[in-house]
Amino acid sequence: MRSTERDRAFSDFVRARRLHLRRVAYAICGDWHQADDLVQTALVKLYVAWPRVHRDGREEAYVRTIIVRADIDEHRRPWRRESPGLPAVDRPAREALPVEERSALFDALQALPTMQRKAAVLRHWLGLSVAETAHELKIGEGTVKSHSSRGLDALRTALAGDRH
Amino acid sequence: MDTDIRDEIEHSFGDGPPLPLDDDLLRRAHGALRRRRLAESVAVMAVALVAVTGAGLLAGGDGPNAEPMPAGPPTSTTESKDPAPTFPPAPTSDGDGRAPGAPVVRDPHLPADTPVDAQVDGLHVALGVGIEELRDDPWNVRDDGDWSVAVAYTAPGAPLTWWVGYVGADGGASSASIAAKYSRGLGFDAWVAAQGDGVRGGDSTSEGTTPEGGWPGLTDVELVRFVEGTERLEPVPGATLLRQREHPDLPRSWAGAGDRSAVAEVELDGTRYYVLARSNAGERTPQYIAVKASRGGATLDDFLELARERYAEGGGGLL
Repeated sequence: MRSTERDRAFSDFVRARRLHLRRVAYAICGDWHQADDLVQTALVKLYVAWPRVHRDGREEAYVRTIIVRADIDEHRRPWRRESPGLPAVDRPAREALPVEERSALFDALQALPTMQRKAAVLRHWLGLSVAETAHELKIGEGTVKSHSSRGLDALRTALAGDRH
Repeated sequence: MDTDIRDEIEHSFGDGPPLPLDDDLLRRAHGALRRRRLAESVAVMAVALVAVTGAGLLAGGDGPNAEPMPAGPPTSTTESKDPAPTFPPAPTSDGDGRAPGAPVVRDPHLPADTPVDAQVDGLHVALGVGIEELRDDPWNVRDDGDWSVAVAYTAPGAPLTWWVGYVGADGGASSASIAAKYSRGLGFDAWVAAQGDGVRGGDSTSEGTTPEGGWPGLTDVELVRFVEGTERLEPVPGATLLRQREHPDLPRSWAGAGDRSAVAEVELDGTRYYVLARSNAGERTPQYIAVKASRGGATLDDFLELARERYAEGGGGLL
Protein backbone atom coordinates (compact mmCIF):
# COMPACT_ATOMS: atom_id res chain seq x y z
CA MET A 1 0.00 0.00 0.00
CA ARG A 2 1.30 3.39 -0.99
CA SER A 3 2.64 5.39 1.91
CA THR A 4 1.93 9.07 1.60
CA GLU A 5 2.09 11.99 3.94
CA ARG A 6 -1.68 11.88 4.13
CA ASP A 7 -1.60 8.23 5.14
CA ARG A 8 0.97 8.85 7.82
CA ALA A 9 -0.80 11.83 9.34
CA PHE A 10 -4.15 10.09 9.15
CA SER A 11 -2.78 6.93 10.76
CA ASP A 12 -1.20 8.97 13.54
CA PHE A 13 -4.53 10.59 14.24
CA VAL A 14 -6.34 7.25 14.23
CA ARG A 15 -3.85 5.74 16.66
CA ALA A 16 -4.10 8.70 19.00
CA ARG A 17 -7.84 9.29 19.05
CA ARG A 18 -9.66 6.17 17.98
CA LEU A 19 -10.19 4.82 21.45
CA HIS A 20 -11.74 8.06 22.63
CA LEU A 21 -13.91 8.37 19.54
CA ARG A 22 -15.03 4.80 20.02
CA ARG A 23 -16.15 5.63 23.55
CA VAL A 24 -18.05 8.65 22.26
CA ALA A 25 -19.80 6.46 19.71
CA TYR A 26 -20.58 3.89 22.39
CA ALA A 27 -22.04 6.53 24.66
CA ILE A 28 -24.27 7.59 21.77
CA CYS A 29 -25.39 4.18 20.55
CA GLY A 30 -24.82 1.82 23.48
CA ASP A 31 -23.39 -1.01 21.41
CA TRP A 32 -19.72 -1.68 20.82
CA HIS A 33 -20.17 -3.24 17.40
CA GLN A 34 -22.29 -0.38 16.21
CA ALA A 35 -19.80 2.02 17.76
CA ASP A 36 -16.97 0.41 15.81
CA ASP A 37 -19.01 0.67 12.61
CA LEU A 38 -19.80 4.32 13.26
CA VAL A 39 -16.19 5.18 13.96
CA GLN A 40 -14.88 3.34 10.94
CA THR A 41 -17.39 5.02 8.65
CA ALA A 42 -16.53 8.40 10.10
CA LEU A 43 -12.79 7.78 9.75
CA VAL A 44 -13.14 6.82 6.09
CA LYS A 45 -15.02 10.08 5.49
CA LEU A 46 -12.33 11.92 7.40
CA TYR A 47 -9.65 10.48 5.11
CA VAL A 48 -11.49 11.74 2.04
CA ALA A 49 -11.80 15.22 3.53
CA TRP A 50 -8.36 15.12 5.15
CA PRO A 51 -6.58 18.10 3.47
CA ARG A 52 -9.30 20.58 4.39
CA VAL A 53 -10.05 19.19 7.84
CA HIS A 54 -6.43 18.63 8.82
CA ARG A 55 -5.48 22.12 7.69
CA ASP A 56 -7.98 23.55 10.13
CA GLY A 57 -7.10 21.15 12.93
CA ARG A 58 -10.69 19.93 13.08
CA GLU A 59 -10.07 16.20 12.68
CA GLU A 60 -11.65 15.12 15.94
CA ALA A 61 -14.58 17.51 15.69
CA TYR A 62 -15.21 16.31 12.15
CA VAL A 63 -15.35 12.66 13.16
CA ARG A 64 -17.38 13.40 16.25
CA THR A 65 -19.91 15.36 14.23
CA ILE A 66 -20.39 12.43 11.85
CA ILE A 67 -20.84 10.10 14.80
CA VAL A 68 -23.38 12.22 16.64
CA ARG A 69 -25.33 13.02 13.48
CA ALA A 70 -25.59 9.37 12.50
CA ASP A 71 -29.07 7.98 12.46
CA ILE A 72 -28.92 5.31 15.09
CA ASP A 73 -31.35 2.51 14.70
CA GLU A 74 -33.04 2.57 18.09
CA HIS A 75 -34.54 -0.84 17.52
CA ARG A 76 -31.08 -2.36 17.35
CA ARG A 77 -29.83 -0.78 20.53
CA PRO A 78 -29.41 -3.38 23.25
CA TRP A 79 -30.71 -0.90 25.80
CA ARG A 80 -34.03 -0.92 24.00
CA ARG A 81 -34.38 -4.69 23.88
CA GLU A 82 -36.70 -4.80 26.81
CA SER A 83 -39.17 -7.31 25.50
CA PRO A 84 -38.75 -10.68 27.18
CA GLY A 85 -40.27 -12.29 24.11
CA LEU A 86 -37.27 -11.69 21.87
CA PRO A 87 -35.90 -14.90 20.46
CA ALA A 88 -32.64 -16.07 21.93
CA VAL A 89 -30.94 -15.96 18.54
CA ASP A 90 -31.50 -12.24 18.21
CA ARG A 91 -28.16 -10.72 17.21
CA PRO A 92 -26.03 -12.70 19.62
CA ALA A 93 -22.92 -10.88 18.46
CA ARG A 94 -24.04 -7.46 19.60
CA GLU A 95 -22.13 -6.48 22.66
CA ALA A 96 -23.07 -4.15 25.42
CA LEU A 97 -20.95 -3.98 28.50
CA PRO A 98 -21.56 -6.61 31.13
CA VAL A 99 -23.78 -5.14 33.82
CA GLU A 100 -20.94 -5.01 36.32
CA GLU A 101 -18.88 -2.83 33.97
CA ARG A 102 -21.41 -0.08 33.56
CA SER A 103 -23.20 2.10 36.05
CA ALA A 104 -26.74 3.17 36.70
CA LEU A 105 -25.72 6.52 35.33
CA PHE A 106 -24.75 4.99 32.01
CA ASP A 107 -27.98 3.03 31.94
CA ALA A 108 -29.83 6.28 32.54
CA LEU A 109 -27.89 7.95 29.75
CA GLN A 110 -28.85 5.16 27.39
CA ALA A 111 -32.47 5.37 28.45
CA LEU A 112 -32.71 9.00 27.38
CA PRO A 113 -34.42 9.86 24.10
CA THR A 114 -31.89 10.08 21.28
CA MET A 115 -31.47 13.84 21.08
CA GLN A 116 -31.40 14.24 24.84
CA ARG A 117 -28.72 11.58 24.99
CA LYS A 118 -26.66 13.19 22.26
CA ALA A 119 -27.02 16.61 23.84
CA ALA A 120 -26.03 15.21 27.24
CA VAL A 121 -22.96 13.51 25.80
CA LEU A 122 -21.79 16.64 24.02
CA ARG A 123 -22.66 19.15 26.72
CA HIS A 124 -22.16 17.28 29.98
CA TRP A 125 -19.44 14.79 29.10
CA LEU A 126 -17.40 16.37 26.32
CA GLY A 127 -17.94 19.89 27.61
CA LEU A 128 -19.08 21.53 24.38
CA SER A 129 -20.83 24.87 24.61
CA VAL A 130 -24.50 25.28 23.80
CA ALA A 131 -23.57 26.87 20.48
CA GLU A 132 -21.12 24.10 19.63
CA THR A 133 -23.64 21.44 20.56
CA ALA A 134 -26.31 23.14 18.47
CA HIS A 135 -23.95 23.17 15.51
CA GLU A 136 -22.97 19.52 15.87
CA LEU A 137 -26.56 18.36 16.21
CA LYS A 138 -27.92 20.83 13.65
CA ILE A 139 -30.59 22.04 16.06
CA GLY A 140 -31.31 25.38 17.66
CA GLU A 141 -29.58 26.55 20.81
CA GLY A 142 -32.90 26.71 22.64
CA THR A 143 -33.53 23.10 21.74
CA VAL A 144 -30.09 22.15 23.01
CA LYS A 145 -30.82 23.85 26.32
CA SER A 146 -34.12 22.05 26.59
CA HIS A 147 -32.67 18.64 25.72
CA SER A 148 -29.63 18.98 27.93
CA SER A 149 -31.65 20.26 30.85
CA ARG A 150 -34.05 17.34 30.72
CA GLY A 151 -31.22 14.91 30.16
CA LEU A 152 -29.27 16.33 33.06
CA ASP A 153 -32.28 16.02 35.35
CA ALA A 154 -32.58 12.35 34.45
CA LEU A 155 -28.89 11.75 35.01
CA ARG A 156 -28.94 13.53 38.36
CA THR A 157 -31.88 11.41 39.42
CA ALA A 158 -29.99 8.28 38.43
CA LEU A 159 -26.91 9.45 40.29
CA ALA A 160 -28.91 10.19 43.40
CA GLY A 161 -30.55 6.78 43.27
CA ASP A 162 -27.22 5.07 42.74
CA ARG A 163 -25.80 6.66 45.88
CA HIS A 164 -28.69 5.71 48.14
CA MET B 1 -22.22 19.97 39.17
CA ASP B 2 -21.31 19.88 35.49
CA THR B 3 -17.75 18.91 36.33
CA ASP B 4 -19.08 16.19 38.59
CA ILE B 5 -21.39 14.92 35.91
CA ARG B 6 -18.55 14.96 33.40
CA ASP B 7 -16.41 12.81 35.64
CA GLU B 8 -19.31 10.55 36.49
CA ILE B 9 -20.10 9.96 32.83
CA GLU B 10 -16.43 9.49 32.03
CA HIS B 11 -16.22 6.71 34.59
CA SER B 12 -19.67 5.25 34.02
CA PHE B 13 -18.43 2.78 31.41
CA GLY B 14 -15.22 1.15 30.39
CA ASP B 15 -13.24 0.87 27.16
CA GLY B 16 -15.27 -2.05 25.91
CA PRO B 17 -13.99 -5.19 24.26
CA PRO B 18 -10.54 -5.03 22.67
CA LEU B 19 -10.41 -2.72 19.70
CA PRO B 20 -10.71 -4.94 16.63
CA LEU B 21 -7.76 -5.10 14.28
CA ASP B 22 -8.50 -2.85 11.36
CA ASP B 23 -5.94 -3.39 8.68
CA ASP B 24 -8.69 -2.57 6.21
CA LEU B 25 -9.19 1.02 7.26
CA LEU B 26 -6.61 2.61 4.97
CA ARG B 27 -7.62 0.40 2.06
CA ARG B 28 -11.25 1.41 2.51
CA ALA B 29 -10.21 5.04 2.85
CA HIS B 30 -8.19 4.88 -0.37
CA GLY B 31 -11.13 3.33 -2.20
CA ALA B 32 -13.51 5.99 -0.91
CA LEU B 33 -11.14 8.73 -2.04
CA ARG B 34 -10.83 7.26 -5.52
CA ARG B 35 -14.56 6.92 -5.91
CA ARG B 36 -15.14 10.44 -4.71
CA ARG B 37 -12.62 11.87 -7.13
CA LEU B 38 -13.91 9.89 -10.05
CA ALA B 39 -17.50 10.79 -9.18
CA GLU B 40 -16.52 14.44 -9.17
CA SER B 41 -14.90 14.18 -12.57
CA VAL B 42 -17.98 12.45 -13.93
CA ALA B 43 -20.12 15.21 -12.44
CA VAL B 44 -18.12 17.75 -14.41
CA MET B 45 -18.64 15.69 -17.52
CA ALA B 46 -22.37 15.55 -16.89
CA VAL B 47 -22.52 19.33 -16.76
CA ALA B 48 -20.69 19.52 -20.05
CA LEU B 49 -23.05 16.98 -21.54
CA VAL B 50 -26.06 19.10 -20.66
CA ALA B 51 -24.43 22.00 -22.42
CA VAL B 52 -23.58 20.12 -25.59
CA THR B 53 -26.90 18.32 -25.71
CA GLY B 54 -28.62 21.68 -25.44
CA ALA B 55 -26.57 22.91 -28.37
CA GLY B 56 -27.62 19.87 -30.36
CA LEU B 57 -31.28 20.53 -29.67
CA LEU B 58 -30.94 24.13 -30.74
CA ALA B 59 -29.44 22.88 -33.97
CA GLY B 60 -32.44 20.68 -34.54
CA GLY B 61 -30.59 17.46 -33.86
CA ASP B 62 -33.29 15.87 -31.79
CA GLY B 63 -34.30 13.02 -34.03
CA PRO B 64 -34.11 9.46 -32.82
CA ASN B 65 -30.87 8.85 -34.68
CA ALA B 66 -29.26 12.19 -33.88
CA GLU B 67 -25.80 11.90 -32.43
CA PRO B 68 -25.84 13.40 -28.95
CA MET B 69 -22.82 15.58 -29.62
CA PRO B 70 -22.50 19.09 -31.00
CA ALA B 71 -21.59 19.65 -34.61
CA GLY B 72 -19.02 22.24 -33.63
CA PRO B 73 -16.16 22.08 -31.19
CA PRO B 74 -17.05 20.93 -27.70
CA THR B 75 -17.30 23.31 -24.81
CA SER B 76 -14.47 23.90 -22.38
CA THR B 77 -14.73 20.38 -21.04
CA THR B 78 -13.98 17.90 -23.77
CA GLU B 79 -15.25 14.78 -22.15
CA SER B 80 -18.70 13.41 -22.62
CA LYS B 81 -20.49 10.90 -20.49
CA ASP B 82 -22.44 9.66 -23.47
CA PRO B 83 -22.18 7.00 -24.67
CA ALA B 84 -21.17 5.37 -21.40
CA PRO B 85 -21.00 1.62 -21.14
CA THR B 86 -22.33 0.18 -17.96
CA PHE B 87 -19.89 -1.31 -15.52
CA PRO B 88 -21.75 -3.40 -13.03
CA PRO B 89 -20.25 -6.38 -11.26
CA ALA B 90 -21.24 -9.35 -13.32
CA PRO B 91 -23.55 -11.97 -11.86
CA THR B 92 -21.60 -14.82 -10.43
CA SER B 93 -24.19 -17.50 -10.46
CA ASP B 94 -26.07 -17.19 -13.72
CA GLY B 95 -24.39 -20.17 -15.21
CA ASP B 96 -23.22 -18.49 -18.39
CA GLY B 97 -19.57 -19.07 -17.67
CA ARG B 98 -18.66 -15.52 -16.71
CA ALA B 99 -15.72 -15.07 -14.46
CA PRO B 100 -16.92 -14.07 -10.99
CA GLY B 101 -16.67 -10.36 -10.38
CA ALA B 102 -15.76 -9.43 -13.94
CA PRO B 103 -17.51 -6.38 -15.36
CA VAL B 104 -19.66 -6.10 -18.42
CA VAL B 105 -19.15 -3.51 -21.10
CA ARG B 106 -22.37 -2.57 -22.79
CA ASP B 107 -23.20 0.33 -24.98
CA PRO B 108 -26.14 2.30 -23.59
CA HIS B 109 -27.64 2.56 -27.04
CA LEU B 110 -28.16 -1.19 -27.02
CA PRO B 111 -31.13 -2.73 -25.23
CA ALA B 112 -30.31 -3.60 -21.64
CA ASP B 113 -31.04 -7.25 -22.25
CA THR B 114 -28.57 -7.53 -25.12
CA PRO B 115 -26.78 -10.79 -24.45
CA VAL B 116 -23.13 -10.97 -23.62
CA ASP B 117 -21.34 -11.98 -26.78
CA ALA B 118 -17.74 -12.53 -25.89
CA GLN B 119 -15.28 -12.46 -23.09
CA VAL B 120 -12.18 -10.41 -23.72
CA ASP B 121 -9.45 -10.43 -21.12
CA GLY B 122 -11.82 -10.43 -18.18
CA LEU B 123 -14.37 -8.13 -19.76
CA HIS B 124 -17.73 -9.38 -20.86
CA VAL B 125 -18.57 -7.59 -24.05
CA ALA B 126 -22.12 -6.98 -25.14
CA LEU B 127 -23.25 -8.05 -28.57
CA GLY B 128 -22.35 -5.45 -31.16
CA VAL B 129 -19.57 -3.86 -29.15
CA GLY B 130 -16.13 -4.16 -30.68
CA ILE B 131 -13.08 -3.77 -28.48
CA GLU B 132 -10.37 -1.90 -30.40
CA GLU B 133 -7.88 -1.50 -27.56
CA LEU B 134 -7.73 -2.70 -24.00
CA ARG B 135 -5.50 -1.73 -21.06
CA ASP B 136 -5.52 -3.94 -18.01
CA ASP B 137 -5.22 -1.99 -14.73
CA PRO B 138 -3.77 1.17 -16.28
CA TRP B 139 -3.98 2.99 -12.92
CA ASN B 140 -1.99 0.30 -11.12
CA VAL B 141 -4.46 -0.13 -8.30
CA ARG B 142 -4.43 -3.92 -8.23
CA ASP B 143 -1.98 -3.89 -5.33
CA ASP B 144 -4.68 -2.25 -3.23
CA GLY B 145 -7.12 -5.02 -4.12
CA ASP B 146 -8.94 -2.82 -6.65
CA TRP B 147 -8.98 -3.02 -10.43
CA SER B 148 -9.06 -0.58 -13.30
CA VAL B 149 -9.54 -1.31 -16.97
CA ALA B 150 -9.73 0.87 -20.05
CA VAL B 151 -11.07 0.10 -23.50
CA ALA B 152 -11.47 1.83 -26.81
CA TYR B 153 -14.60 0.41 -28.34
CA THR B 154 -17.02 0.78 -31.18
CA ALA B 155 -20.73 0.06 -31.21
CA PRO B 156 -23.40 0.35 -33.88
CA GLY B 157 -24.44 3.97 -34.28
CA ALA B 158 -21.87 5.27 -31.81
CA PRO B 159 -18.52 6.92 -32.44
CA LEU B 160 -15.25 5.35 -31.34
CA THR B 161 -15.39 5.70 -27.59
CA TRP B 162 -12.76 5.57 -24.88
CA TRP B 163 -13.87 4.27 -21.56
CA VAL B 164 -12.13 3.62 -18.26
CA GLY B 165 -13.63 1.91 -15.23
CA TYR B 166 -12.63 1.24 -11.68
CA VAL B 167 -13.85 -1.44 -9.31
CA GLY B 168 -13.04 -1.20 -5.64
CA ALA B 169 -12.33 -4.25 -3.55
CA ASP B 170 -15.47 -3.41 -1.58
CA GLY B 171 -17.60 -3.65 -4.73
CA GLY B 172 -17.93 0.06 -5.49
CA ALA B 173 -17.49 0.95 -9.16
CA SER B 174 -17.21 4.07 -11.27
CA SER B 175 -16.48 4.81 -14.88
CA ALA B 176 -15.80 7.67 -17.26
CA SER B 177 -15.89 7.86 -21.03
CA ILE B 178 -15.40 10.19 -23.93
CA ALA B 179 -16.02 10.09 -27.65
CA ALA B 180 -12.48 9.82 -28.94
CA LYS B 181 -12.95 12.64 -31.42
CA TYR B 182 -13.38 15.09 -28.54
CA SER B 183 -10.13 14.22 -26.86
CA ARG B 184 -8.43 17.47 -27.91
CA GLY B 185 -5.45 15.69 -29.36
CA LEU B 186 -4.81 13.41 -26.40
CA GLY B 187 -4.01 9.82 -27.29
CA PHE B 188 -5.93 6.97 -25.74
CA ASP B 189 -3.28 6.16 -23.14
CA ALA B 190 -2.78 9.80 -22.21
CA TRP B 191 -6.51 10.26 -21.72
CA VAL B 192 -6.73 7.14 -19.56
CA ALA B 193 -3.79 8.33 -17.49
CA ALA B 194 -5.34 11.78 -17.10
CA GLN B 195 -8.51 10.29 -15.63
CA GLY B 196 -6.42 8.24 -13.24
CA ASP B 197 -4.45 11.22 -12.01
CA GLY B 198 -7.53 12.45 -10.30
CA VAL B 199 -8.35 9.06 -8.90
CA ARG B 200 -5.10 7.32 -8.22
CA GLY B 201 -3.03 9.73 -6.17
CA GLY B 202 -3.57 9.41 -2.46
CA ASP B 203 -1.88 12.75 -1.91
CA SER B 204 -3.88 15.94 -1.98
CA THR B 205 -1.07 17.69 -3.80
CA SER B 206 -1.10 15.37 -6.78
CA GLU B 207 -1.52 17.15 -10.07
CA GLY B 208 -3.60 16.20 -13.06
CA THR B 209 -2.00 15.96 -16.47
CA THR B 210 -4.36 18.37 -18.13
CA PRO B 211 -6.02 21.54 -16.89
CA GLU B 212 -9.36 19.82 -17.32
CA GLY B 213 -8.43 16.68 -15.47
CA GLY B 214 -7.07 15.94 -12.06
CA TRP B 215 -6.87 18.22 -9.08
CA PRO B 216 -4.11 20.73 -9.79
CA GLY B 217 -4.24 22.58 -6.48
CA LEU B 218 -1.19 22.64 -4.24
CA THR B 219 -1.28 23.42 -0.56
CA ASP B 220 2.39 23.02 0.23
CA VAL B 221 3.63 26.00 -1.79
CA GLU B 222 3.58 29.15 0.30
CA LEU B 223 3.36 32.22 -1.90
CA VAL B 224 1.11 34.89 -0.39
CA ARG B 225 -0.86 35.69 2.70
CA PHE B 226 -3.69 38.03 3.55
CA VAL B 227 -2.91 41.47 4.87
CA GLU B 228 -4.63 41.29 8.25
CA GLY B 229 -8.29 42.18 8.11
CA THR B 230 -8.32 42.88 4.37
CA GLU B 231 -8.81 41.04 1.12
CA ARG B 232 -5.42 42.14 -0.13
CA LEU B 233 -2.59 39.69 -0.46
CA GLU B 234 1.09 40.25 0.14
CA PRO B 235 3.87 37.99 -1.13
CA VAL B 236 5.95 35.91 1.21
CA PRO B 237 9.69 36.65 1.16
CA GLY B 238 11.18 35.48 -2.12
CA ALA B 239 7.92 35.53 -4.06
CA THR B 240 6.89 38.25 -6.48
CA LEU B 241 3.28 39.31 -6.60
CA LEU B 242 2.49 40.03 -10.25
CA ARG B 243 -1.18 40.95 -9.94
CA GLN B 244 -4.12 40.33 -7.67
CA ARG B 245 -7.84 40.87 -7.39
CA GLU B 246 -9.88 41.20 -4.26
CA HIS B 247 -13.02 39.12 -3.83
CA PRO B 248 -13.13 37.61 -7.33
CA ASP B 249 -16.47 36.55 -8.73
CA LEU B 250 -16.55 32.86 -7.80
CA PRO B 251 -19.35 30.52 -6.74
CA ARG B 252 -20.49 30.56 -3.13
CA SER B 253 -18.95 27.15 -2.51
CA TRP B 254 -15.63 28.94 -2.64
CA ALA B 255 -16.50 32.03 -0.62
CA GLY B 256 -19.63 33.89 0.38
CA ALA B 257 -20.25 37.59 0.76
CA GLY B 258 -19.07 37.55 4.36
CA ASP B 259 -15.82 35.71 3.64
CA ARG B 260 -12.50 37.21 2.64
CA SER B 261 -11.34 36.04 -0.76
CA ALA B 262 -8.67 36.99 -3.27
CA VAL B 263 -6.82 35.64 -6.27
CA ALA B 264 -3.27 36.42 -7.29
CA GLU B 265 -0.66 35.66 -9.89
CA VAL B 266 2.71 35.07 -8.26
CA GLU B 267 6.19 34.10 -9.35
CA LEU B 268 8.59 32.10 -7.24
CA ASP B 269 11.95 30.76 -8.36
CA GLY B 270 11.08 31.26 -12.01
CA THR B 271 7.77 29.44 -11.79
CA ARG B 272 4.49 31.28 -12.23
CA TYR B 273 1.52 30.33 -10.05
CA TYR B 274 -2.04 31.38 -9.48
CA VAL B 275 -3.25 31.42 -5.90
CA LEU B 276 -6.80 31.34 -4.62
CA ALA B 277 -7.07 32.59 -1.06
CA ARG B 278 -10.01 32.61 1.28
CA SER B 279 -10.72 33.17 4.90
CA ASN B 280 -14.17 31.96 5.74
CA ALA B 281 -16.02 33.73 8.48
CA GLY B 282 -15.63 31.78 11.70
CA GLU B 283 -12.63 29.75 10.58
CA ARG B 284 -9.35 30.38 12.23
CA THR B 285 -6.91 30.00 9.37
CA PRO B 286 -7.04 31.20 5.78
CA GLN B 287 -6.68 28.71 2.95
CA TYR B 288 -4.28 29.25 0.10
CA ILE B 289 -4.48 27.01 -2.97
CA ALA B 290 -1.70 27.41 -5.52
CA VAL B 291 -1.93 26.16 -9.08
CA LYS B 292 1.01 26.25 -11.45
CA ALA B 293 0.30 28.52 -14.39
CA SER B 294 1.13 25.63 -16.68
CA ARG B 295 -1.97 23.94 -15.30
CA GLY B 296 -4.18 26.89 -14.50
CA GLY B 297 -4.30 28.67 -17.85
CA ALA B 298 -2.44 31.35 -19.78
CA THR B 299 -3.86 34.33 -17.90
CA LEU B 300 -5.39 35.16 -14.56
CA ASP B 301 -8.77 35.36 -16.31
CA ASP B 302 -8.29 31.85 -17.68
CA PHE B 303 -7.50 30.61 -14.20
CA LEU B 304 -10.58 32.31 -12.77
CA GLU B 305 -12.66 30.61 -15.45
CA LEU B 306 -11.22 27.27 -14.37
CA ALA B 307 -11.91 28.11 -10.72
CA ARG B 308 -15.50 29.04 -11.56
CA GLU B 309 -16.00 25.65 -13.19
CA ARG B 310 -14.37 23.82 -10.31
CA TYR B 311 -16.37 25.56 -7.60
CA ALA B 312 -19.69 25.37 -9.43
CA GLU B 313 -22.08 22.70 -8.20
CA GLY B 314 -20.45 19.34 -8.80
CA GLY B 315 -17.26 20.91 -10.10
CA GLY B 316 -14.99 19.02 -7.74
CA GLY B 317 -12.82 21.90 -6.53
CA LEU B 318 -9.10 22.32 -7.10
CA LEU B 319 -7.90 19.97 -4.35
